[in-house]
Amino acid sequence: MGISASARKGWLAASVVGALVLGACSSGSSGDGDPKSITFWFSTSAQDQGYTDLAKEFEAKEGIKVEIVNVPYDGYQDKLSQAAQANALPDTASVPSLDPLWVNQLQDLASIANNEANKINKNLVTADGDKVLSIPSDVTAAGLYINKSLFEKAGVSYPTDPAQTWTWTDFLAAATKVREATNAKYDLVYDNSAARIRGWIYTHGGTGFQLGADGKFAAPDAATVTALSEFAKINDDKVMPKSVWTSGQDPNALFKSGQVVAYYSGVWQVADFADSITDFEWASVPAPAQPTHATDINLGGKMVAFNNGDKAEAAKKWIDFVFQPANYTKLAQTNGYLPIETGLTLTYPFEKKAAQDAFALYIKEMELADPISSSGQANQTKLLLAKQKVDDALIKTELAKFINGEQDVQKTVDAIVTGLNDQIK
Amino acid sequence: MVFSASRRRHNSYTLAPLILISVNLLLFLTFFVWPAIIGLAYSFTSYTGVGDAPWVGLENYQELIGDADFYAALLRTLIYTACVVPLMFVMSLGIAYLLVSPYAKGKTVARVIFFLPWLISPIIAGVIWRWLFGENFGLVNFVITELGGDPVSWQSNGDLSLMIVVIVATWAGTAFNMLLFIAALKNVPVSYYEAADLDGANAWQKFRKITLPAIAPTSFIVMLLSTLHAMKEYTYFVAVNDGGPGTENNLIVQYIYETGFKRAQIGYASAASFVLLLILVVVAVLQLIASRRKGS
Repeated sequence: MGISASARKGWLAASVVGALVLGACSSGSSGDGDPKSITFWFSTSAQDQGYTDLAKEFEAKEGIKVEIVNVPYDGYQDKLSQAAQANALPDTASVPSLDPLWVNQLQDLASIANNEANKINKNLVTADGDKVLSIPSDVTAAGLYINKSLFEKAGVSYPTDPAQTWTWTDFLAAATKVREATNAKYDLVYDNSAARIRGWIYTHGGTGFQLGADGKFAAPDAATVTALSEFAKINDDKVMPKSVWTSGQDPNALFKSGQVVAYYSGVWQVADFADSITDFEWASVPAPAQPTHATDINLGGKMVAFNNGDKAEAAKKWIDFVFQPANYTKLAQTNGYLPIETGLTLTYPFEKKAAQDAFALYIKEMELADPISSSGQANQTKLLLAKQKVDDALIKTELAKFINGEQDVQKTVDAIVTGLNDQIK
Repeated sequence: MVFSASRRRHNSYTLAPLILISVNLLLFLTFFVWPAIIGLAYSFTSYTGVGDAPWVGLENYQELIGDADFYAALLRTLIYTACVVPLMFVMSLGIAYLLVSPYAKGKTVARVIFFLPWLISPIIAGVIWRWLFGENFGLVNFVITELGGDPVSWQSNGDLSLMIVVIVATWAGTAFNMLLFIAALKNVPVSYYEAADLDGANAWQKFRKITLPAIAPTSFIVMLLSTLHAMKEYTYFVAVNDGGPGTENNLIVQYIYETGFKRAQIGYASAASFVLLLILVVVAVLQLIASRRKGS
């Protein structure tokens, strides 16, 4: 113990010295035409080994060191804007969202995004005309989980192939059957989130809240209004507990209690469920389609390369390297990403079969998903390029009022559209 | 000669205190007066939090007069205050009275126990009570169903959910007021009670005619602080039921927060803040006048 502790100290000292030397080198070499190192900022509280591994391979291949900086998520966006004002932006980064303040300093990544070999889903890259500003490092999707133990106990079957999925009517009937047979408390809990309700609307054939040609949010179609009424109706303390959408009850905790038959959330729950659900078996199942096969697709980190003088070329090389299918496969597997590239064979390092299956299912779901599934983030991008910022959290509040009987569906829909448009200048 | 001497003395009594309070004054000006002035200025604009702030004059205030949501929040705030202040007053005075009674046993232990809720962060207190009164898996509903009853909708019924917050706030806020009352009760001269005993007064008469008048200044402070505090309550509502069900229990501060930051209407929210400030000033002045009149 003592030896290893002192050895560690030695390493620490050596690496500090090393870092200082490197720091000196990099600041000295910034004027050279041939950079020896570039910086890469990103933010995660989970797995970062994927980038570290790729950086090593990149250095071995190109002789350029990638200095990876994991920036705390809170304040990351502020740090970037300050860096932009101080002319100290990183060379490359994976950012939570683009900012009008520095969007003009981004390099065009079109050659990477359009490279046929990469098979990048072009619906999801952020482009201003032909110029590709960012490519997401990964995507997230909404989806349905069931308490498999309850289903088995009740002897009720469920689909496993997204191509032959069920309708919401079938699913709710099955869930009620399970609840009654097993004495569980509720059929379903549904994340209280503006993004997740998009999944409900799209799968019911609605288009939800979309930007019109005038750059403002338009009134939604009739199917959306009907879908929202349906949603309020199932908040009856039998199918769904009313408290989740009206009083801030935590649906994740309710599902984990084992007393709820199903949970509509998203792919990010897989790692958590794999770790923390031990009392019962869970499974990811195809999301119901009534009739539209859809989900809500959002972007993980957005990979960007900044135009930092003589480091610009190396920066773009790094982004290109990351998205080469062989490298990207490793990154997605190690970091547990849903891929932005299609046609990859991925094996995630989960011990639980349910978690492995869940990822496989999500990948299939995304391939089948209607293009509208990614329109939520597309609207955000459009607004960003028009230098607008709209927070859609008010959708939750207005729906909560509706579910609580404070207003009717038409007033809810109107209030949402007005509330969103009030934020657009 | 006399004039200049007095002037010099006057100077030294002005300068030294000024220097001594200068740090505080600076902090007060930078972090209180300045933001307040900016807030007041924003209330006359349609500022959204980014970009420029177009001047709209009194438009925000005019809109506020006709805003049903604002009145709903204001009414809910008044109901909450009307419930929580008297309850907290009675609870803290009652407990303090028991704790200074010569007949009470284990006073030190009791005082620590009663003080504990004050040490718990409001968010944690909210979460604890949410576990107790959680509608779906709370302890209270569990006990009720085990005894054969139907679960009570503690969260999705607006009035019950308000009641829970009143209980939580009373539970958490009693300790501090109790301390104030204990100090006040101990300062009431014992000779008054002895004289009353000789006159044959009973316990209730002694409490009404001696104790209450003697602790009146403390009662005033407790009432004033509790009222101002209750009018600005935010944390318990967010922690217990997120201002729900729906927006039924959105108090005025939560309303300001939602409009200002969730809907990016900083100008409008600033106007609402200034109306709240005005109401609080009126409340404080009214209570001050009432206590003066009682004092004279």
